[in-house]
Amino acid sequence: MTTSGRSQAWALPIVLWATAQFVGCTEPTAPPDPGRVTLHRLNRDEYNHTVRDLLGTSQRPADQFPSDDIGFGFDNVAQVLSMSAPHVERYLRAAESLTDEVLRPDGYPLGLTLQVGDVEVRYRRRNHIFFASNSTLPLRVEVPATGSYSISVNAFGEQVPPEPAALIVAVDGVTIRTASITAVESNPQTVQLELPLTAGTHMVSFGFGNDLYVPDPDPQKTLDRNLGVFWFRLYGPTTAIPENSIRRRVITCTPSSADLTEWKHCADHILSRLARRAFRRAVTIDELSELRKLAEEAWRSGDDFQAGLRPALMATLLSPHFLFRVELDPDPTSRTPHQLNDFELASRLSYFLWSSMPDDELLRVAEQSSLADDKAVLLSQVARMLDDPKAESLLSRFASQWLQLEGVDAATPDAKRFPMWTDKLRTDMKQETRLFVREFLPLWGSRELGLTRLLTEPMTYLTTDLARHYGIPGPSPEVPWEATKLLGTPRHGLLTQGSVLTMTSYPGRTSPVKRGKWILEQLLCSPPAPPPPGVSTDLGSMSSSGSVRQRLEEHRRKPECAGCHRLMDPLGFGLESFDAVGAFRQNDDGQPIDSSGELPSGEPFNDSAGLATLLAQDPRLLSCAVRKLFTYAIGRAPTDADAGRVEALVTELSEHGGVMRRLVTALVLSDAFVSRRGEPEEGTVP
Amino acid sequence: MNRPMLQSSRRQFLRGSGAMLALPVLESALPKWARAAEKAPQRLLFYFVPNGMHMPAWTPSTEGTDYELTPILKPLEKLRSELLVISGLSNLPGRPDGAGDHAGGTSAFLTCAHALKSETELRLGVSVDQLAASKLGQGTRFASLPLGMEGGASVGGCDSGYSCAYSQNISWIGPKTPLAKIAGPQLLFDLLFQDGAQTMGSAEKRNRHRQSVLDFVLRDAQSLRGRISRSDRDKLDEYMHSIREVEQRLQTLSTGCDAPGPPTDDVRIGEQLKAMSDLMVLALRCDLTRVMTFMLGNGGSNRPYDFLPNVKGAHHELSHHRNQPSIQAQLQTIDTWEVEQLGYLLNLLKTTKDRDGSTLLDSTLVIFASEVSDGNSHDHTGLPVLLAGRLGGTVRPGRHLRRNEPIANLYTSILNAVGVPSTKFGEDGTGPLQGLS
Repeated sequence: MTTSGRSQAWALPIVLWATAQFVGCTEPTAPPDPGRVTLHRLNRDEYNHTVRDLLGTSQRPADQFPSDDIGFGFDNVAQVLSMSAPHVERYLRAAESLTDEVLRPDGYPLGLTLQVGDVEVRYRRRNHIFFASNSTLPLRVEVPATGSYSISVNAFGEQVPPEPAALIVAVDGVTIRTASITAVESNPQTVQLELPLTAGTHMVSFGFGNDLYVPDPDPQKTLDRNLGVFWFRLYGPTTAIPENSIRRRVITCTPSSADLTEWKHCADHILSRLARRAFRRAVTIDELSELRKLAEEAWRSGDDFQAGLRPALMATLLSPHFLFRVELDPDPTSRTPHQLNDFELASRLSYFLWSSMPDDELLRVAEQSSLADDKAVLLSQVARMLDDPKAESLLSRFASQWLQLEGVDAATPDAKRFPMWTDKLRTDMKQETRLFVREFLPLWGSRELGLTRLLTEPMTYLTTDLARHYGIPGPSPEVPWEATKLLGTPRHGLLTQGSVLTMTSYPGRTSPVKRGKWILEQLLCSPPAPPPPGVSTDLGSMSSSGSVRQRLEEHRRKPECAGCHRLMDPLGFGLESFDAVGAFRQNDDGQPIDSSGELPSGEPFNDSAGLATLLAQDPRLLSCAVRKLFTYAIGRAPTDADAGRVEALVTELSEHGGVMRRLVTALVLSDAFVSRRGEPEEGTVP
Repeated sequence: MNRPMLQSSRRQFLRGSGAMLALPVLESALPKWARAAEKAPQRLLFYFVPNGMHMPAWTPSTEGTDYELTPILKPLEKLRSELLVISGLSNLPGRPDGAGDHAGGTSAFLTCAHALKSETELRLGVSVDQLAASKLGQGTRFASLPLGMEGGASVGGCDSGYSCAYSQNISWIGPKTPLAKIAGPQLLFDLLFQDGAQTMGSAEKRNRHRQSVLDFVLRDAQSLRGRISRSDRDKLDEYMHSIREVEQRLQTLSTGCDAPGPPTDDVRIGEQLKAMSDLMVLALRCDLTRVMTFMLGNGGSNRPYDFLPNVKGAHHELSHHRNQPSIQAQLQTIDTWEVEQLGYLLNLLKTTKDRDGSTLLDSTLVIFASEVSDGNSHDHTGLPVLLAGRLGGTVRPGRHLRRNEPIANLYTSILNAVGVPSTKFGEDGTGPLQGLS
């Protein structure tokens, strides 16, 4: 950060504060209301990213969590992120699975042994697993890597000649071995087999396959064949013996003796390091000793040092301080604003810019208490964090939700009308838009274009396939995703990209209404009212022929429709030169395309380029971006009390040509980001 | 080898009943109660389909036992004696403020409550399945299972200023808290059966650890609770409540069903739905739960149905048919397909035997309905409601009833039938619906 940048940064909060004073507050003496964010549960992405950064795991446990509810178009709005028992079920299993991974010894990445204590009661008899009838025990196994695995089973039969007891081993429901177990209980035999497994989830099962039971009043004469298993073992891949780097990262010391004091000391070392990072703040002595007591309890019940850490590790991952981003108010019932503490601010920053926990550097700065008080430190952290690859979450999470890029996945173009549509094209379109939009975000290597160019920039990223689809010259197959100039083509900016055009179309035809609505909602934050009940939204029903545009024009003559369609349709008309899968066209249903129109304000345009130029000048484009980023960054949508704040941010953004870095910086410095307040109890007067 | 008496008698029982088990049963898959001399428990399944029905092809023209099956209901012909069609029910609290009929209707579906129109603040009511679960759910591994086929990763806002939570959930454990649903067979399979498959450590030790860990974090949360403000406390209370519930459930011994093979990875909706139905029936049969809710799609779902003959387009779009016969025909195809899927599940329930020779369908009541009746006009009256099963003899199927009253009254009757006292349910209930049995 340059010196001039720093001094501007210093000045900025005062400007914001003053504006908010002027616009938002009735009592001139009161400081502006910073608003409050409700206790914020980590959403699925945040959880996955956080355990990745906390432990170094490649597991993504949250993919199995219930889906997050969405508010204002984003999945990180604190108030709507609820929690219920299915969440806790999954948290519990995630904590177990992650702890398993941490504690797994060096050696085979997969090594599991099943004995009598591990199976359900009805399979247990004395010291072995017992099959009294034909059945199998299934194990769901996460196979870490493709390779050769080894299974061994120590078993015996309760024999009824002539057939020996049959042991079955199956993978994913397919029997891979039926072994004759001739041994008896006093002298069991071990069956061993090697098998290839691919990485991923498999059901491995073993059991009994030739039950025989012929009862007789004389128990001595009863024929009863059964199978017993002392242990079942699965390990591998047998070709590699890597070390467990995750264990090394977390289990940072090992006691050299059986001395309990040493164990405690060592556990403290491990748990304090982990809890500090998991809770994203300094841990108190009391918290630490409570955690350690869990380990002590397990040691007392016979666990060795590392196994005893297991409940303490799990508790850390299930703690409310891990699952929620906790921000405390000195007086929870007071509306008086106060600054976040350094750790709380660090978490806000990291979940905004990284969708993940603070890293060691950020925690260290927070610990030195310089983050909240020293704007220069704060801003240098922001700059550092934006340069980190983790900031790509601003693209994959923020921009993708803002522009609804996932919508391309749901598009289902009619295969008969659009035989050229392929999944490759879909993937390419998504990637085109991602690469393009990235150029507007403050990310490493980005050109950081101003948002005013989002709709007009005569450049994009193409593959050969996509260029062919667009009918323009593109890169050679050897260099896909080359920046491609669009001057001299009908394309420019986001609105003429296949992704946007396809996801705002019906399977068989374009929809100027959907396209217009998308522009109004996502880019201008001016959603039109939905259609009144009973009104058709189907064009096929109006007149049997004519272009989509002609049929819509007819529609728009109805007074109950005109109000909103006057706003939506012209925007969509401007894009009529592109069909429902984003290919350029000159005719629709035999009629020449007319992509001219007029905005409600009366400004005319001739084609998509003209439309884009007008929209790029619409002040709502920038103010909408501000509202979207505000919502995503803080986890709540701006309210009336934020009006002044939003206005100041818009000013900041537009004065700097719509460059997002300015907005990110100003937002991070705004009092809505760095401070909060309590709230009165229900029924009391503030 | 000499065997204790208990084991051999259980074994004889299994042999005796084996022939009746119509599913390819894992022999050991019988639930706990099946071994004791207990009556089969009552079970409820609330089955939601989005966007209403093409009502002219749904509603039987006559009432009583001789009603004629309409085109949409035709796939259930063989199950006719198990069906109770109820016409005329309404859910007026589902009427939204302004636009947002799908969010309004879906949120009121089982709550009969009027949702607060907001993208951030949720306020609704408690749903009937949760009230039923407070009674039926005691002692099973899951008090209730909220299930569905579509996750929550919908794009953008969901319906005209209503939070997506309103159209993505039908099960509400509290007025502010939807019970997040398990979407798709893979997640359900994992939830139900992953636990039987250990990766490390013994089952006993794992359970001991779980208990002490949950105790620990509950204490942790309790101490935090005193230091935070009102709305934060609401969130923390959701957490604490969920922890307590899971803790309590862990003490419920697993009733012991063997895991079936993992569900199909064929992603076509028909295959996924079959796999889901299989697992739902298995969950009931194994007595893992007695109360389920299921959303075939989220409220106002726009799932494409172009895999069906002559259907061009997606569900919500088509539901705005504007009385065009060509579109209504496509809707009818979708509706009929939905009912066929229900038929698959009902058939499973009917061919799966309880220990006393009755079927699962005898002890279960399936309530099949939608958030609106006609999707074009967003009508919250005259809802398509189809019950199937007998709920342990408290419901007499094989009829078509007409009742012009709130659907809340049906819920009151169902609650009473499962032993939950209720005189009026929801915001517009007036009393129990007469004539169910």
